[in-house]
Amino acid sequence: MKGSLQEGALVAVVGAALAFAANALSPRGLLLSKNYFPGTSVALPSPVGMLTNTTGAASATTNSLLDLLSARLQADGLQLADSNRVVQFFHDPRREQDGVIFMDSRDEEHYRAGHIPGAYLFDRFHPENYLTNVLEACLTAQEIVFYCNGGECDDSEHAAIMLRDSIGIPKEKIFVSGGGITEWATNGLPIELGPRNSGQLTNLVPTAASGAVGQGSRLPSPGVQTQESGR
Amino acid sequence: MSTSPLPGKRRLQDLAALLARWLLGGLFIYLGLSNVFHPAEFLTFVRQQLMVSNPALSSLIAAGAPWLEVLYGLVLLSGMAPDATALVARWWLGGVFIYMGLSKALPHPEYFLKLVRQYDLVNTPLLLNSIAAALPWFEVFCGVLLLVGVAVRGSALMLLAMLVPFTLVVFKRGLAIAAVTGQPFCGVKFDCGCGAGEVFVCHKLAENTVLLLLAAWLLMGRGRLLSLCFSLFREQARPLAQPEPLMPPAA
Repeated sequence: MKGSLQEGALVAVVGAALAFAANALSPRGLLLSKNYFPGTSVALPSPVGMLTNTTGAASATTNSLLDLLSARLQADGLQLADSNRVVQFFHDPRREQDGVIFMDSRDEEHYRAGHIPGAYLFDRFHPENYLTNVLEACLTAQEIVFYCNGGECDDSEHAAIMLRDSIGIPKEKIFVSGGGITEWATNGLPIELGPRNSGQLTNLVPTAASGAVGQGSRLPSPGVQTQESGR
Repeated sequence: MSTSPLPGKRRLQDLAALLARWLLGGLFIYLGLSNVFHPAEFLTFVRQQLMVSNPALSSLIAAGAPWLEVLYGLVLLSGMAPDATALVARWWLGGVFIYMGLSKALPHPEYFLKLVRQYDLVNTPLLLNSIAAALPWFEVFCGVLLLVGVAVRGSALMLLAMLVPFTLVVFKRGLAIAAVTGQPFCGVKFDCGCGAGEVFVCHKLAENTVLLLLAAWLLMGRGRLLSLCFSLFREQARPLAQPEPLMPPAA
């Protein structure tokens, strides 16, 4: 047993050293000192996907969860945009001239699989790749709506905080969609595929009573639901 | 350490080893059959999680792998070919950890970071980032060691040290979700950060029990066949009369 413990300790030390080295060498490695979750970071007491699940027991608590989310966003100086408000923003005529913009806070793979038409991509984990594209639009827009997947995903609020604090966007301009792209798709609203303004639009019809994204949906792409629990 | 256990204690050890082997065999049969009876789900897993895009190959894997699990379970139950089964266990455990580690580390380690954060285990960014950055690669490292047969018991000990707390937090989170949603415990499905996407919690716990038993089996000194350097430190001679853990004595 003593030999196993010694061997285990050696494996732990060498393995940890190699693991940190591999992370440092990996182009997608994490920065150890970076705070990836700025803000109050109070987790919602909800299981995965609760906010976007409109069925059964989950729906009974959805309003209270939205209240909790709203309170958390307020603590971070952000405003919650519910489903109706998000749709209003989308139909706002100012959107044509980038007076109102949508900011997709997911990664490029999911963005290309389907996003709110005209939305900008801002993957907060790799801001250096996207900041130049969104900087001007963020500074000139009168209202900015951040969204990600829905559910427990908080990428949208962290992206909002990151942009607000780094480039000085006034907090009054910032809104965070509570239901995210999942709620958007569930409501049968238009989805744009591929890059921004690609013109490839699709509509998703909500499935009867399920509230889930219908069969044949191209959104979210395989892996979104499994790898990312998100609002 | 060098003395043989007392007869009563040995009988108890033998009984525990036998029960563990039966449990392991039964779990392999259960996991294999659950994939046999849910072929579409398993095929999706093979295509999306294992990233086998070739339709013929993915279908072949989806059709054959569950039966191999069942067969392996039966062999474990029977107690036949202990060295070969231990070798398969070592390779299987190593392969699983390499796959799970790589699927977390590449291509989106930030997904794993978010999942670790959901467990609310640590608060400081440095500690959270360190866990999410190092754990996947550490799993890969231990998996490679098991695959080639280097420092097998030390690697198995490390896997046990990771699996026990991880299984407990998965169980705890499953209970929490079941309490909030009113779902039955085994109906709870979520992404536990295990590298395989969303899973039913009971299925995950069964899988983890298998991994725990396999790691414990290797820790007890099995799986020496085709190993490059089973022990890094000099091993004490085992008494000849000592029975093989988990397996009946060779005929």
